Amino acid sequence: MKKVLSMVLAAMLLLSLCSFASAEDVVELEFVYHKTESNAIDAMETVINNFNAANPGIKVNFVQVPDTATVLQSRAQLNEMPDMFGCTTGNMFELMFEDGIIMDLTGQEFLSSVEPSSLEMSTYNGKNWRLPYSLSCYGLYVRTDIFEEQGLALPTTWDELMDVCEKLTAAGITPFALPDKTMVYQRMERMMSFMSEDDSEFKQIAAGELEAKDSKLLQNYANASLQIVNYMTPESLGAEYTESYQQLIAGQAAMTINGGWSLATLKDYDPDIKVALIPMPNPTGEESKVVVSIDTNFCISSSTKHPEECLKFFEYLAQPEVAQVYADKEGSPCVINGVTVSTPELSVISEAMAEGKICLSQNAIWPSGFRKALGNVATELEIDQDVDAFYEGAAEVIDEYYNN
Amino acid sequence: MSAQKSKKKTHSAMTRERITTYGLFCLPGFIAYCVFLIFPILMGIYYSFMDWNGISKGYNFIGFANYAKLLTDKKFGAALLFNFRYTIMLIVGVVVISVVLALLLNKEFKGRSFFRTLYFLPAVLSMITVSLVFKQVFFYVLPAIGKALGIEALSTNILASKQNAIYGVLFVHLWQGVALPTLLFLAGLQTIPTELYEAAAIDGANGWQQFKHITVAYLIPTLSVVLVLLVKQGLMVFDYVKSMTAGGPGTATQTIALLIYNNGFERNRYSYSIAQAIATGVIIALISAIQIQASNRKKVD
Repeated sequence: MKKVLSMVLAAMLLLSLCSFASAEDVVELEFVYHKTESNAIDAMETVINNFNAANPGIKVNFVQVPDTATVLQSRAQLNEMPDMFGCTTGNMFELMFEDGIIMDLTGQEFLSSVEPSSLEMSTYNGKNWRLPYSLSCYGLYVRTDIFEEQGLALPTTWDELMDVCEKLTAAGITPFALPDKTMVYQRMERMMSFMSEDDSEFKQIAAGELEAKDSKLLQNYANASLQIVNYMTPESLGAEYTESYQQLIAGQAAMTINGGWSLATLKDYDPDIKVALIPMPNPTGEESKVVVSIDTNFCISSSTKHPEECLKFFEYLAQPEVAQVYADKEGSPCVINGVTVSTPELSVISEAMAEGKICLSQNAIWPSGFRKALGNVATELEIDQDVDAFYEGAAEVIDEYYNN
Repeated sequence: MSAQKSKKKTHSAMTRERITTYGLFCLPGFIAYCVFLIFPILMGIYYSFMDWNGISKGYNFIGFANYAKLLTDKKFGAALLFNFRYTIMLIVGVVVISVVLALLLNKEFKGRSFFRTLYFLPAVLSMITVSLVFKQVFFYVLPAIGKALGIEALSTNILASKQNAIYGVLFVHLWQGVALPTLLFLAGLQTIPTELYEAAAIDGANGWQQFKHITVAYLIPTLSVVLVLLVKQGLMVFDYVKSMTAGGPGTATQTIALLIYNNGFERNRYSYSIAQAIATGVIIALISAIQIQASNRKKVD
């Protein structure tokens, strides 16, 4: 009896193995996607499904996790990188480029469909490691309906912005709802990105050539930050993205400062919301620039067993028609040639970008983790409003991150 | 003679057999323990002497440099101090509340099992879920109550205050953390023979004296276990802080575990974060050892 049973079991095992073998005719590829907004997930899934339908021999599996950077780092350690993945920019990926974890895409035909300046921005050590896909832009969200009611024009300079804040306050409307419990670091980094050419002042401070309190950049930032604090809802210091969106939607504030990625969530919460994203005025009095970062890039792991199939998928992604499908759903400006995005809420900022008033987010050149550390000091500035403590704290953080 | 010898032989054979059997039974556990605990610790110690960034395949031996850096790391010191402060408040809070609760739940009253279940309920919820729920409570509910009652400290989000954020986190930790110790103390209370109280009452001991000399004495072993658990929880607190304040506002609630996580995953200083973790582990082990020693001396046999 036992023998019969074991024979049956063994036969079943063999059968199941056979079924695995037949499934291997289709090449399965794992694609880990880094964006968490519902519209972006929808966009990526649609593109992948279309690709799978058109290519019966290849099956791209869509995987989405909440914290891709941590997942990718852990998987890199285990030598189990997904075949392909989406990523933002940042020091971690540069370490991966240096270490040969990511396939070199230099010279691939499909890169020619990328708008040249974006392709240039996305190179590292003179090579192309990623397929840049879409940009994020950061700026000022205004509730256009409140502005209309109050007869206010969209501010283009810092003085105009402060004037708008005064008028709103006088009318009993709080100007800003901000996600300042956790996100000060992001606004600080984006504002510093258009307030200075590069991080040379930080390097000087680190080298002991400049006192933090004499840094124009830190001074300008501190002044602007303290002015903003005067005009934000009392809840802002305890708010994260969600709460700041809710306050904006509820009309408890007329503006927020955030990136283009927020639009989808705002519209998810309230499909009828009347907002526009406009360039953030520059507190230094100089021209305002839209801070962009290449917020979606695609990479292939060098350890993939199916490089040809991966490249085939990338060729597909780089086609303007495909990118158009993605961009229509995702809504951000796309860097593939021939793709147009007409999101009405982004029209003002897109115009400024088309005029070339853009600069790159400096997070890409700052040391890894620096913006969050300096962001903590910037958060304390908002709470304590102590400028001297801010310079002191900034000097400490700069020393820690630039001298290591 | 020969009979004795053969008896001896069977005896030793039996012992050997028993050892083999016990050994075989222990083996799976032992292997799992080695694979999932001992081996990672040894790997951790190895990596803590390197300069690994967490991604590269290559790294260099740098000796005790990571540990040397720890000694001068202000952030590590500040986080350690925060954790000590937090742990002390956590221990006092949990022990006092759970002993009181256990004493109350040990009394005979209507609906006792209902209340026992009710007070245990928080323990079955996930820490992250509880934290996220309370984060919303602190944002929407508490300030509204504070404003209605005119209490200044409560009318703003306490998680946004540098001074008070620790109490917000601690409150949630207590809310969830007292459930298990209450159950343990309740079990401890039920081991106390009632005759002792009767005898003490006849000898003229009042309620406080009975509590001090009988109840507390019998609860020492439970207390010892609870303390070890709390010291570990307090010094390694991560989930509550990560999901409620993320170490903020600023660095006001930066804990060691958060610092280790940030160094590893946000700054790509893997080896350094491992060195921090090992140092923390040693500190916790030392404190626990001292504490177990101390409570063993006070135990009633």
